[in-house]
Amino acid sequence: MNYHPFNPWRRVLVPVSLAAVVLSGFVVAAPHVARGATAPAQSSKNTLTIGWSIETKTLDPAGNSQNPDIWVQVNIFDKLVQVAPNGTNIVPDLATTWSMSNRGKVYTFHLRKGIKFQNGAPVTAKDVAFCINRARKPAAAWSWTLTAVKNVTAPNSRTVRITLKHPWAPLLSDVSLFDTGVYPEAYFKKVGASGMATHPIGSGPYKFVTWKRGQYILLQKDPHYWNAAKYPMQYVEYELIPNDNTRLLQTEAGQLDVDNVLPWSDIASVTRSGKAQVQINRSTETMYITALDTLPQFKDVHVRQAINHAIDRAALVRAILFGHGTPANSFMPKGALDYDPNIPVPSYNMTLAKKDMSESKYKHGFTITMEVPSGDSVSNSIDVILKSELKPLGITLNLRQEDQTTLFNNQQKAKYHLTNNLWTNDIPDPDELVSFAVDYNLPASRSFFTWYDNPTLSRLSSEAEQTNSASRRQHDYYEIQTIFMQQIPFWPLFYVPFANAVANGVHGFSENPLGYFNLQGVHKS
Amino acid sequence: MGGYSFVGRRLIQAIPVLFGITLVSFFLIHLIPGDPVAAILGNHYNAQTAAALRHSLGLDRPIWDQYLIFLGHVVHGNLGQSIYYEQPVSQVIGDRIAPTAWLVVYSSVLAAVISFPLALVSALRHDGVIDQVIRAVFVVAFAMPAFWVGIVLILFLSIDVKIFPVSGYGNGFAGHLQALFLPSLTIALAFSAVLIRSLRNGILEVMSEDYIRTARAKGLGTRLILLRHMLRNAVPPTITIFGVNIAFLLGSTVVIENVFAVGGIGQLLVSAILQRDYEVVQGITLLLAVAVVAINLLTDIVHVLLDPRVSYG
Repeated sequence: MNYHPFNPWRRVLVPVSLAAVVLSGFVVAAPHVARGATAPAQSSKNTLTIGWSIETKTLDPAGNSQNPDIWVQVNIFDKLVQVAPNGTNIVPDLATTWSMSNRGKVYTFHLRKGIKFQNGAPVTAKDVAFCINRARKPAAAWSWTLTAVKNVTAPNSRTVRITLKHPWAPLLSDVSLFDTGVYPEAYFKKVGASGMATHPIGSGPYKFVTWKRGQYILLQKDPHYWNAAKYPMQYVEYELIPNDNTRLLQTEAGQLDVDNVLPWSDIASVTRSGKAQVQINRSTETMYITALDTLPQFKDVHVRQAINHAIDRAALVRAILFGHGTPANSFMPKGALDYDPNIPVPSYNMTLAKKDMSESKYKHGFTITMEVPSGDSVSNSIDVILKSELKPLGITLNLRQEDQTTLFNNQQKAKYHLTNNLWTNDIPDPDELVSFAVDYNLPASRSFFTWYDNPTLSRLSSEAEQTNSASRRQHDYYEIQTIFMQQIPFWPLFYVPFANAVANGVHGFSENPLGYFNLQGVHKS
Repeated sequence: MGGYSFVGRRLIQAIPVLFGITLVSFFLIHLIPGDPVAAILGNHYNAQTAAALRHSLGLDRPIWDQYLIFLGHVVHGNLGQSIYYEQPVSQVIGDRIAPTAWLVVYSSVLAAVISFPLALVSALRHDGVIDQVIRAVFVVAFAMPAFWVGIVLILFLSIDVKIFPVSGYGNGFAGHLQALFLPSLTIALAFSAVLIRSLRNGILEVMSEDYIRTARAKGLGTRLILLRHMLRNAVPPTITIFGVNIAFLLGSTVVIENVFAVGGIGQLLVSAILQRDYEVVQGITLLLAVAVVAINLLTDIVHVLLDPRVSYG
């Protein structure tokens, strides 16, 4: 039965239009919301906003820092020395000069004059010694980089002396690492590690202002920083935006200055639209397939070589990076210190691959499980292609998705067959990667969790660590790379550049090959 | 008095429910493979430090012991210590509860604001063109994945017409209202589809009742008939649906918080599961369970208040 006794529109239109009025009240022209409470001078003009997808956990340099921690820390803390924007040279930071004595076993650093922490206290050699000594305590997550250090002392207020157990070539690189960031000893003793993790004080270009968990971290320029003139931006805000599309849309809308993780598939459309600048910087990021080499299949060098020749690296770069990368000819990053450019990229040659396979103990192939990091589109695509490339060799790959924690756990416990891996250098010195990737004696990694034990590689790696002759080290590292590519304990695939979407109107931003943002000279128009 | 004993009885009934939830959430997160110690140590994992850390976190105890310790803490109002953030769970959750609470309340209000007038139009013009359009549009809105609707709304209302920010939580009351409008609208659209359909049916049923004809016959004004006779009778079933769906809505904030970068507990829950931060996962699950139980209770109370035929039986 129909019931139309009155005109319902009048009654309905009232609440609808009321709702419209209420909603339109929220509409404010400027979308960027300045967080005025803590920093009244903040505006979108003087703030650089950087968006990324993973959450910051600690701002304590000697804490268990991962990338989103490190990238914030490097702007708050100074180290003795720092890495130049090119990612390979070591340049002065807190120390203006340094010297080596006692056949490379003692380093003496002379500190810059008149430097102050962000709380006004002077930076003394005693603070530096305290911080490095804390960073090298076994409980500190990155202490493995400082194991060659015997002690760190402060003979006077502007001199720091590091004594080594034995000559250690990577030392300057190691004291450029974020974990040796310097903070006031007195402040640390007052607030402890948990206070440092949440309310850090350093002597770097930007000081900590506020941290809204799960949302953003705000830093403000320290006008007393020794090199303050080179940092035009008054504020830097790191925003947690997990979704790739949202981050890019924000950048295109001008609400975010830097989208730190630009998917490869979006590069062409962003470039075409001109709504943001696409910035591609050289990196040390390298993609690998790693295997558990103690399995009988992978113990066989013929199998490893067969797989090596069955991988079409150039096609992977085209399909996955949309051409923005280079096939890998070494496990070491292209352009990094002591990378050997003369080694050829392994040829994609199925005839050769089948010949290698026929010379192995697995002429008819085998079936094996490939653990794929779930939610990682690059690894997923690689593995699907790899599955079809290995099929002609009789190798059947069963792809199994695992989340990162499980995957990592399986690798540490040597309970896997094949998986994807990647690496980015944290320091310019090759030692960090080389010892991690080929030195079986390093318990933290066991040759990149392959358990591949090659005494020659381990010996060369330690030798290169303990000689200060640059030519001798290069010789050792070249030899390591040659042996590696012959033995191919795991498979370097390609080199990946860093891709950022940068809002129009932001100038001078770049990411160095180690993944640190260069904020010197960054300005907005 | 009946009301108090009703609420008391319902609260007592909630205890075994919550106990069951602690049991399920505890064992589910412990059963999935992966190791929080490995997640914490990352590249610096080795057998000795892992064993030491596992011991200091109490993860080397038998699993039943761990459960009893957790339960003991919960009874004392202590949700434990986050393994990953190295902070009390209550603090980790407390830091992020506000955006989620905002999102839930805001989207519920928006859903009500959208649904009531549209359901009314739909019912009064039922089977007409307007009714068909409203129903079709909201069926589509309901069927669309929330993350997609979110992105489309961003494209139109943040990029083309720069009215709302693409993402974030905003600052201050007005800031939150503005920043959370799009995520709340995304949730509200799907939610409204359910509400409109239920309320429309309710009104249609009531329309054919004799008392409405009687009211008309005795010469009551249309406004009175609509408010006092029709809506009063049509709304209660929808209130129940509203309550049940707020519980589902808590679940959909997980996706929406991710798309709109609202740093709430939905986002926290996902990362806590991936990091195997057992204590945080258990804490959030328990909190959400309490919220759902409370909302259901509240729904029942409102139902009784609105409908004199229903009592606190």
